[in-house]
Amino acid sequence: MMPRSSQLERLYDTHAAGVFHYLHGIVRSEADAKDLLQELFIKLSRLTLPADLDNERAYLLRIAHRLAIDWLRRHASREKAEQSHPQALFAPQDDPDADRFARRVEAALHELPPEQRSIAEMKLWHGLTFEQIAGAQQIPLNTAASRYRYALEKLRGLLKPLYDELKP
Amino acid sequence: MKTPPDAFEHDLERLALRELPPHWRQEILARAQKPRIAPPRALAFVLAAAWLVIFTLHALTPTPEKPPQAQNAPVFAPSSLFALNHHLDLLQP
Repeated sequence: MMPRSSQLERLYDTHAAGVFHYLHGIVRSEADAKDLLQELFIKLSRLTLPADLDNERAYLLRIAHRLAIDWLRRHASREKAEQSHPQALFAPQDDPDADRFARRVEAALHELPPEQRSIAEMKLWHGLTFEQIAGAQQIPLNTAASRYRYALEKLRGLLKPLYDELKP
Repeated sequence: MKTPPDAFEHDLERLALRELPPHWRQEILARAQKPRIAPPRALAFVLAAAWLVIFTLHALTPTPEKPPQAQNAPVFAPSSLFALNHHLDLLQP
């Protein structure tokens, strides 16, 4: 099924923010993540979506992951130079404590190795299964699961003081 | 493969992702749906067909006979031959 105008709009409304944040987490630059998001939607306008697509987000993240990896190959030195700013990943929270926690999670994610962070994001905020993550990143299922466990344990350690303070 | 999430994971999952700036939607969708120029493969096909027509016409067009005086004409003008011989003489040891 070819994505028509309205379908492309629906895909944007449903997935663009999530895909953008995923891309941003990898390329670490808002402008470049936006360019890659644009590239993704240009690709989508030419693609025929598989008829048996069971999870659109997993499908889009799979394409996005490939675009980001190609980008990293082309911009390896630049990527290293831009590793200093945590990404504004989460929406502002009304509750100051919740907002503090969200900002701390962003900072903690920034401290994870990229391969762990991307899997944590796919699992926690995109709701993908390990099978879907493994498919999107072209890695073995066990690698996806173990990287997630490492990521979660690191996040738990980094966030423990604030988490214990906010959730006594 | 499923593992039961704990309270910490649930609290992380509850964090909502930030929305994108609203004007990006129009910008990205407009560019994605912009009509594109002919893809390179079609362009290459058109060029190849044009060259094929040119070569066929060239092969089918009879070439005019050379005039007899042109066939017997010397390769070099006498003055050029004289100058060349003079230079060769100068190069002799």
